Amino acid sequence: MNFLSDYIIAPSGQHLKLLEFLAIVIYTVHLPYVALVIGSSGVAMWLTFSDHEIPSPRFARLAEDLLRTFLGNKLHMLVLGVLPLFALPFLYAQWFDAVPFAPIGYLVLPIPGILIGFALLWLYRSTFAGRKNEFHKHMGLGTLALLTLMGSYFVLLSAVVRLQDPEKWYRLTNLVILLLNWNVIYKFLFFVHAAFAFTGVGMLFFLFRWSDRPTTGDPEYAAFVRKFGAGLALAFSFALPVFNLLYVFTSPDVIFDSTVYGIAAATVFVCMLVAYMMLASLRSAAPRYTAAAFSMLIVVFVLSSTYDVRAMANANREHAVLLEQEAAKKRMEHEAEIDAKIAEQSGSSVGEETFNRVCTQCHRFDQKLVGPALATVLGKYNLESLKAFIANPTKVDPAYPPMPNPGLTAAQIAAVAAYELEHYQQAAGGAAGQTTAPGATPPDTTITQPEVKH
Amino acid sequence: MIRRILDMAVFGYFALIIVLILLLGFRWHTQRKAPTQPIAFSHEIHAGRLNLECVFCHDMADKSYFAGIPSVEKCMSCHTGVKTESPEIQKLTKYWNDKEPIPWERVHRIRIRNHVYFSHKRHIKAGAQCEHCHGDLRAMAQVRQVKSMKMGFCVSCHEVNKAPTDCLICHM
Repeated sequence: MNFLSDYIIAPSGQHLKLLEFLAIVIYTVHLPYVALVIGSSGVAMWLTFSDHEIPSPRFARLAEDLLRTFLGNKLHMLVLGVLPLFALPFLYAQWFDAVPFAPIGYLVLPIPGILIGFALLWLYRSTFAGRKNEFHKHMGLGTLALLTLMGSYFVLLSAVVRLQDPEKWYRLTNLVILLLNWNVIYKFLFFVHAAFAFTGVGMLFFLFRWSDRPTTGDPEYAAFVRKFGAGLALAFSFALPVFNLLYVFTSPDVIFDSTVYGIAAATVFVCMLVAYMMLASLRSAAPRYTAAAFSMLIVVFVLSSTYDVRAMANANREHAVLLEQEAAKKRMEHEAEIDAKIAEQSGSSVGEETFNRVCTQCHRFDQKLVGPALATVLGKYNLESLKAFIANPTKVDPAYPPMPNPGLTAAQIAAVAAYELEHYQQAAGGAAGQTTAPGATPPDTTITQPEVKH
Repeated sequence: MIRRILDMAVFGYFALIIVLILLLGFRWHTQRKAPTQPIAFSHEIHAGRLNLECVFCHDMADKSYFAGIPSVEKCMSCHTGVKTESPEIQKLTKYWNDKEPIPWERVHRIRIRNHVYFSHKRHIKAGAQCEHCHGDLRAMAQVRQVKSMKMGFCVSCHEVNKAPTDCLICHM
């Protein structure tokens, strides 16, 4: 991702917060869709296989309904399934620009696999009608597509999870090491179980509540779909909290703050709501709370991606501070340039303004404060040596505490040094020339050399 | 009846996992909570808003194995005059007048320190940034340990900065 570095300027704190928000939005759009795609094709394959072994028209009909509802639209695949993937690396590249060992390259790696997986799924769906004649081709395509997609998302999720553990980045030299980690494995299992739970709920939502309701007018089929969907969602929403707990347990210490634990606990609570709603659907004669359960599972995805993004930000907060400092420095230099231009045009002095804002916290000209009265010490300096001292203060008089670095830009230092010396000379009258150190040139009050280090 | 027992069991199962997560959180909170210090000294004010450099107070950090805690004298070199009306500064002045050291609680500690040699001086000379190990003190009103300070943490930084990773560099 190094080629991007030329186009990235250090983001400010607000910019980083915005990037975190965008990451959550991208996960929230992308992951539930992929979960439905993976879950529904997995379930459809199982139904097709069962129908092939012991023919059952209900199974075949549900498989067809699932494929039509969840894999039926190329536009969905493109907008929800593919486009967000390309936004993600750009987003993290701004966070981790020029950070050695940051595993953001692994975010790009699974994209080809995911594209191939979607293409294979499309082929799988189009061979559904002719599955009686070419059963093995149909199932083979489906299996291949599912394995490709699952493998790719294992890599993607592991890259996302590994961004939360900067202490171990140096070890991530190849893909096997990236994947073999309990934290990554639990995250992946959480995602797969969420996918099947979401598919179960999605079955109830789309086949009973959405625009075309294939279950109306056939109570036997409706009862079958209700029991199948609710049972599937119930079973997998029971497994979700376990993997969530194991994921929290294996996460590195650096990711945590109380919010992260709160998010993890809230995820389990929402899973509980889904489980109760599915129990109600199983017990009553018609599916209940389908829209609520569907939204609740989307909330599970939102919470789990918020957990990951927040964890990433917590683990790398020092890096964020450095980025903010760099951004602040750039901004300050820019403002100082503007100040200098304004001062030049209006005739007022940057030096005086800087002196009153910064130096007067400890110094007066004629009075001892935290630091010495300037009238007693300025005689020892000319413009160059004063600029050097302000840029890099050292302890001179043991009677005073050492002077902290005031953190001024080169232009501000030059201006304030000139201002102080000018003020000093005016106060000392014409005698200023005699008070400079022997051999030093008389103070030159023009700003000539702004390249002093600071 | 069975239905009610089933409902209770479902609730118990989810509640158990929520409790376990909160217990993990509680363990993290007690182990990593910032210790209460005798004086409410704020790095956020000194290092953050006043922009003092770390070695301005911790003047032994670049000269010694130990960064050390600044002497009371160091505090008093400014606080004889600055903000003397604050009750926290009056606590400081009392320690100064009584000629007592301030009993600060230690925050950072390598757990198996008897087996690890660590020198602040070496690391600062090599250009290591204080915040890399100690976190963003400019934003901390109360200091807490943010890094694991485990071996992986040390080694990763050594690898990144091409510092030696021989065992005997730290374990001797």
